[in-house]
Amino acid sequence: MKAITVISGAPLSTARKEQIETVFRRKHEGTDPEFVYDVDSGIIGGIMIIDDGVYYDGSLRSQLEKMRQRLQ
Amino acid sequence: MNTGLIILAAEEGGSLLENLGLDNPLELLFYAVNLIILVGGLYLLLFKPVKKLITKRKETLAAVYNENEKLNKEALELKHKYEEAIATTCREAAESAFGVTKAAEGRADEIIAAAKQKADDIIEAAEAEAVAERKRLSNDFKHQIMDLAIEVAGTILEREVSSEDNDKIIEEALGRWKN
Repeated sequence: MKAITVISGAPLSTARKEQIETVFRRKHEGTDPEFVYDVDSGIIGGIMIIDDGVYYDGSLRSQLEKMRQRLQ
Repeated sequence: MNTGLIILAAEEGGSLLENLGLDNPLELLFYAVNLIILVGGLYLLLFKPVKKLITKRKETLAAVYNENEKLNKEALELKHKYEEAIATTCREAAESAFGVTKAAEGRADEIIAAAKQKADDIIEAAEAEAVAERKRLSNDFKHQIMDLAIEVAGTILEREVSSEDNDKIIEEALGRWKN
């Protein structure tokens, strides 16, 4: 069974979790992936999802990093 | 003397012959002939050889003087030749030394020019390196400032981002991933 890791800066509400699971279940139609939730204050805000080696990075940290690269 | 003898004989009243101690006029002749023979003999045996010897000596001396003169002349010529040779050698040595000095000076100029060129190259390379280093440091400094700014921004965001803002960010992300 596939496991999808969800990392957030703060604990997510149940409604938010359902929203996330709805979006990603649609990507995995026919399968029932398991969702693993983790909290990492390092990402500051937003979420980061790791789906079978694919990274979906919606964290504030990544946006700051992109800004740094653009400034360079 | 003869006159004196004659007078003496006249005064004395005797003959000349008697006064000379001669009994016979032939004795006078005899003595005269003797004298001639003696003088002749002396001339032949003494005077002539001596004269011959003296002449020979004179010739020898003349030959020696001539030889000496000739040798002196030759010696003088040799002296002039040697002096000329020495002068020529000195001149050639001086010219050679001058040539060597010129060559050495030329070589020294070459070495100096090469050293100067090398020094200029080193300076140029050092200047370029300094410019590159300055640029690198400037870039490093800019990056450090940026990193610091990002870190500060991160810290501020960490503190300031509200849960509503967080929800908004998550909504936007999910909206992108839906498609």
